[in-house]
Amino acid sequence: MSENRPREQQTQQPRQPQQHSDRPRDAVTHGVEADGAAAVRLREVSLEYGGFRALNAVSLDIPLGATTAIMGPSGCGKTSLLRCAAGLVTPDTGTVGVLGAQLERAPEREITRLRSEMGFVFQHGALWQNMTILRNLLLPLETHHPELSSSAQQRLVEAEAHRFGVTSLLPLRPAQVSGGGQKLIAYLRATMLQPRLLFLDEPTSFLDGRATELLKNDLKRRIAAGCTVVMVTHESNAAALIADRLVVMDNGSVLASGPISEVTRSSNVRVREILEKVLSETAVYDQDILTLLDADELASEPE
Amino acid sequence: MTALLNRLGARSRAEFASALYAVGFFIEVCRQLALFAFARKPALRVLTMQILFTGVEALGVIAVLSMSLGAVVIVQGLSLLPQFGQASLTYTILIVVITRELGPILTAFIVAARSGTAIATELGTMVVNREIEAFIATGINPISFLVVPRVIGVTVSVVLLNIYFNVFGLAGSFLVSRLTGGVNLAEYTRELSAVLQLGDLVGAAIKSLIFGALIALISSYHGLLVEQSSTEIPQQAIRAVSRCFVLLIVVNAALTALYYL
Repeated sequence: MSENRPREQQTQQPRQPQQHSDRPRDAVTHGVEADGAAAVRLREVSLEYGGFRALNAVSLDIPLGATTAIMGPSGCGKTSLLRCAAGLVTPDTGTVGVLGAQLERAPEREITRLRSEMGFVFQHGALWQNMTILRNLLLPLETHHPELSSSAQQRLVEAEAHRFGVTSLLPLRPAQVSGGGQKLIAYLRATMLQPRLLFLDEPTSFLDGRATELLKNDLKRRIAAGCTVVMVTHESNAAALIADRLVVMDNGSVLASGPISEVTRSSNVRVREILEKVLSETAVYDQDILTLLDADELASEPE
Repeated sequence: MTALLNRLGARSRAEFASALYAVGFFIEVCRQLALFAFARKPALRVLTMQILFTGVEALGVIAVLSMSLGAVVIVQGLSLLPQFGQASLTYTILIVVITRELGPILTAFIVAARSGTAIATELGTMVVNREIEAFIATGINPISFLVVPRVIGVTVSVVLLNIYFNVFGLAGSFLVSRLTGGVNLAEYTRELSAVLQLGDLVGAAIKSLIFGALIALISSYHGLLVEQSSTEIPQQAIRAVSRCFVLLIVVNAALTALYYL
C-alpha cells in the first residue's frame, strides 16, 4: 500500500516542536507571529457577504507543522477565515499566503500544484452528488496522478476505504449515505493525496463515537508525520486532544492566537467569556481545557 | 433627486460589474475550451454524460415534434398552394421551414427547455452545496471540468439533433404525402433534392452550432451566479431559460438576415 502512495510521508515537513510550555504569558497575540515559517499567512484580510462583514482586517499566521483550532461563537467568521486561508474565496482586501505562495499572484499551474498538497473537509461534506462515493474518492487521484493506472488508483481508494470501514459505501451515491458517512468520506477525499496542509470545518460533527475515534486517530497519525492542520471546531475536546494552538474569534476579528495553554490564560475578558461559553455548550465534557481555565481562575483570584 | 441619481449610479455600477463578470466568464470558457484537447478522463466522462442527457434522451420528443411539424407543413402546402397554381413550391417551403428555419430553432428551444434548466439547476445546486468549492479545493478548475464539457456536449447534441429533426420532419411529410397524394419515395426524394441546396444544410448546421453554444453558456453562467441560498436556484434557472429563448430568436433573425444578404 505504502509503495503505491502518490506522495510519500517523508516529503512532508517534520513537525515543529511544541513550544507553548515555556513561552511567556504575553506570547498570546492577535494572530501575527514574530518569526517562524508559516503554512498560512493572512494579512489585513477583509470579507463581506452582501453587506455583512464576515472578516474584519484579519492578520494571522498558522505555523508550519502546528495543529490550530479556530473557536468562537456562531457567525463570528470561523468558516470564512478557513475558506479564505484555503484560497476558496478571494478576500475583498488583504493578502493570503499558503505554503510560501501568494495566492493572488501565483500562476494557475502553481495553484494546482499547491492544491495537491492541501486538503479541505467541508462542514457538510460537500461530496459530489452526481458521482458515486468511489468516483468522489478517485477524482483527486485521477486529477493529480494521471500517471497511475486506473487499477492502481482504485486499489488505493479501496485500501483507504477499508481502513475506515466504508468499503460497502463505495458503489453508493452520497445521497444514499448518512451524514456521518458522508463526513467520513469527505475526510477520506481530502486526505487521498496525503496533504501537507489540512483544513477541517467542524471535522467531528455528524460523526458517531467510533467514526470520531477513527478520524482523530488518523489525524494524530498525520500530525505526527508533520501535517499542518487548521480546524474550525465547537468541540473543546477536539481542540484539546488534537490541537496545540488556539485562535479565538469574535465579530470577524481574531481576539487571541497562540499555544492553547497560553490562550486559555489570556487576560482578555472576551476571550475567556468565549472559551467558557464554548466549553459550556459543547456536548462532550472536556477535562483538559476546563482544568486549564479553572486553574487560571483560581490563580487570578485575590488572596 | 440626489437619491435618484445615487440609485441610478449604483445600478449602473452593478450592471457594469455584472457585464464585466459575464465577459470574464466567456473569456475563461474560451480559454479552457482551447485546452480541452488535453482534457483528462474525468472531463471526457462529463462530456459523454452531457451528450447522453442532451442528445440521446431528447430523441423521442424531437421525433414526435418533427414528424408532426413535417406532416402539418405538407398538409398545408398540398391543400393551399395548388389553389394558386404553385404546387411545385411545396418542397421549397418544406426545406425552408423544416431545414432552414424551424429545425434549428425548435431543436434549440427543446434543448434550452430540457437541458438549459437542468444545467442551471444542477450548477446552482452544486454552488449551494459547496460542491464547486470542493472542486476548487481539489485543484480542479470548475470551468474546465463542469462548463466546457457541457458547452461541447450541448453544441454537439444540438447539431446532431437538428439533423435528426430534419430526417424525421421530412419523413413525416413523406408519410402524409404518401397517404394523401400517393407520392412514392423516389418521386419525393427527387423533388426534395431538386430544391435542397448545400447552403441550406450549411446554414442550418451553423445555426445549430451557435444555438447549442449559446444555450450551454447562458445556462452555465446563470447556474454559477447562484451564491448561497437554494431559493436562488429556480430564479436563475428561469432567467437562464428566458434569456436563452430571447437570444435564440434574436440570433436566429440575425443569421437568417445574413443568409439573404
